[in-house]
Amino acid sequence: MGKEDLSRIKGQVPVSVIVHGGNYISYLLAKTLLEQGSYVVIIDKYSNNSKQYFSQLKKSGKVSFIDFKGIKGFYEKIARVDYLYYMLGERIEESPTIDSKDFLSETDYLNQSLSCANKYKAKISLITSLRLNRELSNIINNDASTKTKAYSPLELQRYGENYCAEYVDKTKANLRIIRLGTLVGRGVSQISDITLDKLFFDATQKHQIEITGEGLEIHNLIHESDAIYGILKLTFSDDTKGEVISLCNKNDYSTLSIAYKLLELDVEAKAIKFIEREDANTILQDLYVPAPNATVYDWKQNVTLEQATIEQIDSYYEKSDKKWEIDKTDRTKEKVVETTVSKTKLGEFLSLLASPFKKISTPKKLFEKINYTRIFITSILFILLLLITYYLISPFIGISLGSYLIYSQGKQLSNSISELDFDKIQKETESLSKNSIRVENNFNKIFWLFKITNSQDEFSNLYQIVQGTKLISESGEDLVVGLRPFGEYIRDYEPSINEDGAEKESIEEYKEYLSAIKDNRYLLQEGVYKMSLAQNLITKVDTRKYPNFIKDFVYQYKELVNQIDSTVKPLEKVSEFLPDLLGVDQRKRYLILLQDNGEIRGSGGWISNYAVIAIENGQIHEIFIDDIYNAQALLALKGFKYRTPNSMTRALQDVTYSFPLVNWDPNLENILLSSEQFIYDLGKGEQLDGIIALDAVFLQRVLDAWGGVEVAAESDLITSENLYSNILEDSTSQSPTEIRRSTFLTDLFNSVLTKIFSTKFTENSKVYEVISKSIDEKNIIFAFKNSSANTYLSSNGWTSNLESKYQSTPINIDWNWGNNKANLFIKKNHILSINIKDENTIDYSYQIAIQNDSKEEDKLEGAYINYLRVYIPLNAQLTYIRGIVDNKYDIYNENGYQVVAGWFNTPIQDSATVDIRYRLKQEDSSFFPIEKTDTHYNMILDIYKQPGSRMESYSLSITYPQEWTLENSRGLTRIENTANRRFELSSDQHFSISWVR
Amino acid sequence: MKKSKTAIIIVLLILFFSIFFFFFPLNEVAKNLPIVKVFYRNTVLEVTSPNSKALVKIDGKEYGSTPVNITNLVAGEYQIEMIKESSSEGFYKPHIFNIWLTKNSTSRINMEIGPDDNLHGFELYYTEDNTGDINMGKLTLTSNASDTKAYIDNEYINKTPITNHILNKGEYTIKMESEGYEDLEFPVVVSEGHILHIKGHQFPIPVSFDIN
Repeated sequence: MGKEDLSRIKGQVPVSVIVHGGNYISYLLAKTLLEQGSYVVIIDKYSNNSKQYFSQLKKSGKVSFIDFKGIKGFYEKIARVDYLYYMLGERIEESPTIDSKDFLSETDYLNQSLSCANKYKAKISLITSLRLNRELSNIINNDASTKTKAYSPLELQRYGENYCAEYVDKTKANLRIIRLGTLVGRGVSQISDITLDKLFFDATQKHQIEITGEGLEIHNLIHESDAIYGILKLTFSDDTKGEVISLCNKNDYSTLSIAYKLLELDVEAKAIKFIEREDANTILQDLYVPAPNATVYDWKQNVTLEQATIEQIDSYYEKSDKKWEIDKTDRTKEKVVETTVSKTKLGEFLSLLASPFKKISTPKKLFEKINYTRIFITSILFILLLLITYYLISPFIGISLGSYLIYSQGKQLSNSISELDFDKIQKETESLSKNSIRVENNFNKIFWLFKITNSQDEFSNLYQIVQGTKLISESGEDLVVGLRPFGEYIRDYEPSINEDGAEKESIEEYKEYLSAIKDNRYLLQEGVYKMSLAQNLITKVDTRKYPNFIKDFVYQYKELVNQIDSTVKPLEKVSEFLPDLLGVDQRKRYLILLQDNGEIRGSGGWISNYAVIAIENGQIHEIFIDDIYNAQALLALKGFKYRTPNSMTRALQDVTYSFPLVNWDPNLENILLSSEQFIYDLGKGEQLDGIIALDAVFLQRVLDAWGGVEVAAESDLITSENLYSNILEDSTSQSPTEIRRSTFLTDLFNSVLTKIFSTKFTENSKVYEVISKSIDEKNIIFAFKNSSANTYLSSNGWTSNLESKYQSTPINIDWNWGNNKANLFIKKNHILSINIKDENTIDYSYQIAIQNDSKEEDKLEGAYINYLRVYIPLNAQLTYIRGIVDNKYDIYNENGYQVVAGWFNTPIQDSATVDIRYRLKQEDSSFFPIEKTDTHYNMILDIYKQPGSRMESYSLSITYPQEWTLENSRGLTRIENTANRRFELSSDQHFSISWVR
Repeated sequence: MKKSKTAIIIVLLILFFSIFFFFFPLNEVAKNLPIVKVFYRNTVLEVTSPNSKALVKIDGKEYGSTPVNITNLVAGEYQIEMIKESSSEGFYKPHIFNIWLTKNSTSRINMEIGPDDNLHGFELYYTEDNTGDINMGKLTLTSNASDTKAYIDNEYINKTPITNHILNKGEYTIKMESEGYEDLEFPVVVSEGHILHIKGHQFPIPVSFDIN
């Protein structure tokens, strides 16, 4: 063995050297080391006995044998030694006599071995005999004058141990001295201790066990497998460096006790015979104090004395011709399993984890070893651990896990919603809801933590978020189920008309969907209820109590919840009337008016076209589009005459009331009722269920969204840019009272409506954006006979009715009677000054200033000939009117208002102002915009925007008594005792102001 | 090695139990366990409509006409449907209410059904809450009408919705007032360790017109 051979050993393979390795214990040690992947070098004399062990070990291929003759050369050549096991005890036990030559040789081997091992920082173990150490000690203890022979096994062991101890002191080598007990076991053919050897021999070969003396000699035994385990453990451990350790069973056994143990095992001998000791070397007292036992270094005896004794008896029986009959069955069982099962790394890991439970598979052994105190302590610890887990660790893990799941599922949900996959949406909302409940439950579990730290307020604050989130997810679950039929209707809707306006052969109906919307309404109510609670909880959260890094998140969350709440609330209301509007019970008929707001009229603009559509079971069944002047002509031809409204007669004198003038009344509900008669006379239906008025701004937006539309008889694509030039080309009338047929507008109206109604809902998203914006800015207005629908639309300012709430500010209605589109060229400014004199008197000053930027008089631009109507409360006391042409104004009552009306014209490139002032006084049962409470004055102002009006600015100023303290004036700027705001009147406006009394 | 092995086992056990406690529906299982389930059936549901009769269905199963008093339903969420008995068929719509039954508590629906969607009365139920102080309970109050003012024993509290309003356990009188709606007044019991949920429904006051 030299450097060349060793170079083939991989760096991570440890090299172990066993000096005096040609014996049974060294064989076991070498075998174990080889199994653990070590490279083993055995140094010993090459004898018949050692040869037998080497040939066995050679089979592994990683073992080398060195004779003592070559030890010097070996140590010189070897490149690395990781472990050195010097089996001095075995050497001494082998030969009872030692001469000076042997002594010197041995000391030389020891010296060389230690030097070499220390050179490579190897871990060194000197294994000596505990029995001999005890013998030496007892000799010295019992007679201090007694000296051992100079060259004896005892002296050699003493010399070896002393030399090693000095070597450690000098070199700090990683060396320990292991005093090994008397080895027993199946493989031990003869026990080294003569007394014990005789004991076992007698027990297996004779009828009685002979004990010389009283049998009080002490023996330290160790089973062969425990010995190997111990040598390795002690060598590997750095804690044992420099220590002297006794490696043997912790209990001492006397000769007599072992003899009794043998008798118990039903051996050949059946009795003990004591023989008087003949020699005089009787040890009076065993005063031997052994070195610390290996158990101190976590070594544990695995084989019991009984088992070891049995094995040893077996071994002695095997040597003789006799057979041991005892407990054959049990022992054979142990021999049965010889198959070696090797584990993968994962297997080893799992085996490691499962090892505590393995004992359960051998219940007999388990119960034999029951330690009730340990069970009690373990149970207490387990319960304690369970409680800590349940009330502390599990909640935190649960909250984190739940929050993560909610977050990730929320993301998935938004994808599913965009795909309108309702099965997925429903599953995901259910899952979200479950997880939010779990998070809440976990959060409740840590309430005690806040309580003991006196932080209940912090808990409540956090809990509001948790509780609110749970309510949101539960609300979502209800809303999803409730809205599913509506969503499916949108997804599955197939229009009944083709793109060319022709009716399809097969028409789908959606009665089931609409009925389901009605039936599920209670779920929407439940969802809205939970959402309102959630919004209330989360809005109340005190953000200041959160750490800075999550404050922003909480703010955003609050805002999000408010948005969701305001989105969700209308859904419940819409579900109330939507099925009815879509004809779930009976066919519904609606009138659609196209108004040109370039020429403003009462409800938005000059009416050029109308359409009647009928809807039943969610599907369009009839659609009729025509020029409104065709209808007028037809009705005139049929001889129908209609009573002109008084106010129109007063304003326009001898004009004949007809269908195109139906929007003289600014109230869309009245227009609906008036139109019903015209439609009936035209034979287009007995009654109307609603009216929708669109204006040119809406048309322009739709054209922009589509990038233009093809119109019959038009060679160019019609876009928002060329819309008016086409309208004007088509216009031939000289006076507003003339028949003003427009083929172009009729064709355009037809193309637009056909395109909208022939497209699936899911493909119309651009148009819905346009519709949404147009509704907000009153370019589309509605009125329905369904009261719920009307209430809902009205509450959102989407109707065009002069409701009582608008009495708080004057309403301006223009009527362009100039037969041009001057409204495209005018700028209008409203100035409203409200002067609150005291809690019972308010003075209003309302000015309308118009600037006409028209440059010439033609069909498009020109003088703004406008019949102005200003609606004020019935109880208003008019104090000043200026700006009406020739100061000829009319005052009358209409629609629950007092109307100031007259011509208010603005020539080309000129401006004009009208000024109306009035006073409101608090009187019984009359309108007064200030409400008094015990502590406050509250004032609500609603400003009406005339549909179709554009480019209008509004200046609002409220002056209040000096002694009033303004508390809430959201949207207004306060300067001293005045609150102001200047804004563009693009939609109806609402202001809520309060003062502390 | 042994110590680290034990530590790994303990950590894995804690993780296992934590995840187990998160996902395992202890209450749901307990509700169905023999003997234990008796504790979850200690519930009372009262459905009344003081001035009329209404057929009561719970999760689709008929339970007769009001007043109905049902005991020992398993704690949980139920759908209560009330169909007003009337000679003019179809005039009154059926109404469904979602209500919780909590063990050791009484849930109540006291509702007068009007035409269309008009209701007057209240739904009342309790849910468990272990986050309150001793002898205290909580109250959550909502109304179908907007800007509803809520009073407890004639003392103004706030506008609805009101959430987690803390009260001493005991009896109180709740009053709900909203402009354009009829007032609603009824007694309630606030109980320790519970949140009392009340959903009020108020009839709109009919509008009268002067016809000259």
